[in-house]
Parts: sequence; C-alpha cells; structure tokens
Amino acid sequence: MNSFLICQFSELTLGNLIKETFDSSFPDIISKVQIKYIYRYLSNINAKSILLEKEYLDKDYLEDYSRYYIKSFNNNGYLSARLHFFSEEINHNDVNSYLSKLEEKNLNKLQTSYLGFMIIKPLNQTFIGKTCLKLYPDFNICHSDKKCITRLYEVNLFGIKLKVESVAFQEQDKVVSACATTSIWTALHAMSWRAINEIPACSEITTNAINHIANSNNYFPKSELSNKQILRALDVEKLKHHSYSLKNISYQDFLSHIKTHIDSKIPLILGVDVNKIENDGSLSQLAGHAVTVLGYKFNREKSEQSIALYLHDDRLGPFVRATFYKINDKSLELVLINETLNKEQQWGLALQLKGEDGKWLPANEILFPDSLIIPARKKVRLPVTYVYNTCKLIKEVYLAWVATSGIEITNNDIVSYNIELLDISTIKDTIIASEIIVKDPEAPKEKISKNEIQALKQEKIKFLTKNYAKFHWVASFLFRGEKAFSILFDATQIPQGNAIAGIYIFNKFASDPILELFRKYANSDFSYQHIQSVKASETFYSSFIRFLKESELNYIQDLNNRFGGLRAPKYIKDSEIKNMDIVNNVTKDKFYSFSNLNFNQHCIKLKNGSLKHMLWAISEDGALLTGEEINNQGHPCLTGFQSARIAGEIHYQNDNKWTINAKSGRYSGDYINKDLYLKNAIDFFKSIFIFEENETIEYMSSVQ
Amino acid sequence: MVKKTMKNKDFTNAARNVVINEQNIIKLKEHLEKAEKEFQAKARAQAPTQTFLSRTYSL
Repeated sequence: MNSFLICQFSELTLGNLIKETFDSSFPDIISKVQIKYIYRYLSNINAKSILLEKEYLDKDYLEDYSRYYIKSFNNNGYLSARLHFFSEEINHNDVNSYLSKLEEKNLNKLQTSYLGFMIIKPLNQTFIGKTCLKLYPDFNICHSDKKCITRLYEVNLFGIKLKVESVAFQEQDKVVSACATTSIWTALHAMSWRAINEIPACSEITTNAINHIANSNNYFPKSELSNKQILRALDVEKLKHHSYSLKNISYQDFLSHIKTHIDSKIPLILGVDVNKIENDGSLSQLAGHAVTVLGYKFNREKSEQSIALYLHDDRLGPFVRATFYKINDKSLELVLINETLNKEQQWGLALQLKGEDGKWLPANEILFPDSLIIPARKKVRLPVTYVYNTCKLIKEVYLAWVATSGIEITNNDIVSYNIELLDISTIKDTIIASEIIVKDPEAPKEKISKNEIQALKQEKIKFLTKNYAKFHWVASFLFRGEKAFSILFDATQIPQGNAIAGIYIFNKFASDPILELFRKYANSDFSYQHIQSVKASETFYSSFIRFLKESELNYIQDLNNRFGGLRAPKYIKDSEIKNMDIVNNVTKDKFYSFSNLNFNQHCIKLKNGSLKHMLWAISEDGALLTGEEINNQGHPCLTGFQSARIAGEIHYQNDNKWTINAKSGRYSGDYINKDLYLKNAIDFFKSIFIFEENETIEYMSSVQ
Repeated sequence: MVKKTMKNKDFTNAARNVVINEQNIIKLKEHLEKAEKEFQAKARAQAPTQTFLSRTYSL
C-alpha cells in the first residue's frame, strides 16, 4: 500500500482525497463551507498539487481522542491523515526520487512551492483538524498597512523538512470544542513565543475553561463557552488577559485596539453577535460567536478604500476577510478608509467570501462586536487604554497650546502616534541601530551644534545602558509624518504607578516642536501646583510632565559633568601587586576641600628636581588624590585599584609654572572631553592649595 | 493645512514662545478635567460586568 497519494489540485480531487482517507460517509465533502473556503484560499495562492499522507499521528487529535473519542464504541481510531499543498506540479516519481536522494535544489524547490497542510481527523463531519496555510504574499511587507500575525511551523514529510508561515486553524468538533475553544486554541498558536508542542489540545482547553466555574457542565459534548470560561482557560495558560465590553465602543476605539495589538503581535479573541441579513435587508439575530482576529488592512494605495480585519472563523476558515459596514435602516454601506463615524452610528463587520468567479460575494451576515479578550504575557499588566488616553491628551494639549502662539493648524494630523507592545531587547535593537540626525531632513541647512550632538550621544548611551522592565507599551510620535520620539510606558507597572520609563528622541528636529512646549510647561512655576490640582486616574499625563521636569543636579551628576564618569583601572602592572594585594601608595594625600597648604611645599620634590612628576586623580567621591610614582607603581596604587575619574601627572616647568596633564593609561584614556575635565581640575587644585602670586598652574591640552 | 513655508524650526520657536500664564493654565485644567471625565466614562462602559462574564458563544 502506498503511504501517500498525489493529485493535481482541484475541488474534486480535494474532496476525493479527504473521502479516501477514512472512507467518510459524509455525503458531500466539497459542499462543506470550510472546505469550499479552504479550496478557494488555496486556489488564490496558486495551489497545483495535493499530497495525501495517509497516516499521521496528530498530537491535538490524539489528546482529544484520549479524553473523549476512545470511549465511543464506533470510533475510527487515533490515526489522522494529512494533506500537503504545493504550488508546483509534483508526482509520485518526484517524491520517490527526493526520498531516495534529497538534493538541496530539490528541497529548495519543494520548500518554495510548499503552501501548508491540513490534518484530516477520523471524524465523520467535523474532520478539519490543525490546518496551517501560507499567508497571502502581500501581507507583512515593510511599511505596508496590511499586517497579519504568523509564526513558523516546521513540517516533517517522510523526513523532508519543510516550513510554513501561518497560524493554525481548525474547525470546532462540537463535542470537545466549541467556537470559543478553537478561538482560544488559535490565539495560543498566534503567540509565537509559546512552544507549539506546549499548546494544549481543544479538549484540554475546554476542560480548563469549564472547571472551577460555578454552574459549568463538567462534561462533553460542549456546545458553548462563556466569557468567564474563556478567561478561566487563559488563566490556566498563565496568561494575563485584558477584556473589554464592546457594546458602546466607537468604531475608532475598536480600530485602535485592533491595530495596537496586531502591531504588537498579540491576537484578539473577539466575541460577536451574528446577525443574518434577510432578503429585505433587515437583520435577524442568530447567536453569539467567537473568532480570533489576527490581522488588518488599512490599504491606502489601491482603489479599494476599505478597512478590513483578518480572522480565523471556525465556521469558515483561516484568514477570513471582514470589512466594516455602517448600518442604516435596512441598508449597509461600506465604511471607507479615513472615515470617522458618529458615536450614534451603528456599525458591524461583514465576513467576505469569494464566489466561483473569484469575485467577492455580497455579505449575508453582519457581526456586531460584543466583547474583546486580549491574552498577553503575564508580565503585561498595564492595559493599553492608559497609553491611548495619555497620547490623546499629549496631542490635544499640544494643539491647544500651539494655537495660543498664533500658529493656525487646521490639520490635526500634524501630530500622530503609533502604539505597540515591545520587549526591551527589541526597543534597544531599534535604538542602537538608529543614527543621530544632525541635519533637519526638511531644511538641510539647519544643523544641531556639536554640544547638542554630544548630548544626544550621551542620552543614547544612557538609554542603552539603563535597566528597564521586560515589556513596554511604546508610543512613537510623529511630527508632520516624521518619526520624532518614543515614550516608553512600563507595561509591568500598575495603573497607579509611575509608568513613564523613558523618552527617546530619534529626530531632534521633529521632537523639539512638541517636547520643547511640554518642557517649558513642566519647568514653569505653574506645573507642580497644576499637576496636583488635576485628578487624573485614567492617564499618565502627569507622569509625562514630571518626566520632562529637569531634575536638580545632584552631587554625583555634578562630579560626572566636571571630572568625567567613573572608569575602572584599565589594567594592573605586576609591579603594583605584592602578596596578592594591591600596593598602597604611602605618599598618597587625599583632599576634599581647602587644605591651607602651599602647593609649592606640597610638590617640593618637583620644584627641587628630585622628582620628574607626581600623580593626581579625582576619586569616585570627588576627592583630589596626589602622590609620587614609586617603583613604576602608577595611578591604581593611588586609588587603591578603585574606580576613579580623570587622572594624570603634575609637572613643574620653570619660573613658578605648574602644569597638569591627563596622562593615565588606566583612567583617562578614553575621555572625549579631557580638556574640559582638566580645566575643571585646575579650578579644583586652586580651591585646595595656596598658590603664590607669581605662581601659575595650567593644564596641558590633550589635543596636541 | 499647515502653511508650506513653515519649517520644524518655526514650530519649535512657536513652542518656546508659548506664554504659560494663569489664564492658559486654567483653560488647560478645564481641558484635562473634561478629558478625565470622558476617559472614566469610557472605562466604565468598557469594563467587564457580570453580564459580560456570562455572555456565551455557541455558533
């Protein structure tokens, strides 16, 4: 018996191969809605061949079988079958030759044409098991407004390793799973950080959902789940869930939720009221239904000016397109892109199917969003609504303030923002790859000063080297379409906390128009009193203002600014170690303030020529250390091998002229601002020692 | 529309020249309070209730 069969791809061959699998008594496989959908989907992605793997042990079905079907007297066993789809024509000889000798070019050819697989469960009617079909190729292209969550599935076909980018779909079997179960199962698959083999089967999800919930019927078959049971199932998966009632949600707010979470690669479980569109245009309510939203399309380039969602609906198939419609007294009207709907305007989603001719069929159902459940990683505790509110306020306040300056802005899109959840390593990847923009792209003659460039570099280093929480909601602000800055909201924070973790400036020219205004306000006499007087429990606007308030310089920052940041000694010489310990410089002196010592007495050995030079360094706590260099023992013996700041040598030139330099291979080697630190060190020397009227002390510039 | 001749620098200058006085602060406070009320109303409307939790999906 052949372990596999291969046919050309067609509706009939697809039906026949499924029938072949278990000698199904289901009368008309190809008229099954999901099979029709999957056939059209595969036709659209150019399927040419089907390969039937007759016996396949599917983990998910095996689990469902062990929990329920095994005790059915007439069960069809635990083995499933698997159909593989290819966009090239292949035959038995091809596959046999690949199996006898798999050359790389053949593997590549097979991989390029691989469109995914569908498990056929040994069930009479609800036989569509785990199905992973390749996503349409025009999704997820850089800068595209057509996005969909996918993950990589690895497939082993008789030893041939293939891959497909998809999110698994399956239909509910109406026994161990209801629509909500499959939507949870799909959502778990869409979280690419979860290992596929750890995703529970539908029977396990249903069991988790119905356990411990009052009035749950703890047995199969299970035809429905409640929101509470869905949340329970997610709890068992150790996921944090954010849920929203959508009864009165505006169209714009709903879109924001979809876009933010899809951009963040977070699937959404959408509960809807399904309404049938009758012949006279009236709507009749069917029942509640759950689907998983995985993608969106805000296509502005093509003639088709509509917004669409892409979802897995177990009644239809994977990546089903749903478009937005306005509902006006028995008539439906497509919501166009950029259209703003009134609060009172009723709207819904219509699932779109294609007919035999490949054209979109008229909608026959309208789905009214009812509830939204967003499963996220456990650490993502902060709901995104706080971030929406804060960004909305920042934009509104900016526009209101700027209007007072006499600038007339009629296009509110001058300021826009995108929000997504990112882990800190992705955020830092973006920042480290970003370049400091020194010229205004729209006015190249406008440049920022060297000091500003230096400050931006320092900010970048500070940002990259600081510790942050694992996840942040990142609000990226654009000014006149140019990326300006990002605000990081610590997603692990509580709503009552101070969630603003940082603001990173990508383009100072685009950021200043917004941030300068808020900085001015934050540092004004009014800001503190004002922030205190406004009760804000739903936003982090006050935290944003507090973040922009310039912090008062503390002692450590002052030392860093004046004498450089701390440096560990770069290396240590053998001569500086004795008995496994660092040699202490016995001539060391330490000064914090005025010493009442004459400098020429302190450094008498330099003046009388018995020493060529002495050592100096600024310690971690801001003290001036001086000492002689004895037996080739340098600065580490002066500092006790501790971290320190700028360091160098003291020289006596002649004619009462003293100089200091920054010659210290261990401490001063990599400072960019050496001269500034030397200049500050001179002032420090002068504040500690007494210099005679005819004495001078200067620094030797490092740029020579 | 924003005048085409306006540059980022002009907006930055405008931002720096904004007068922050008591009158503007009172207006801003009113704006923030109104927004807070809207946000709270929205949060209440979207918060999961007992009805939400018992909602079932059976299609």
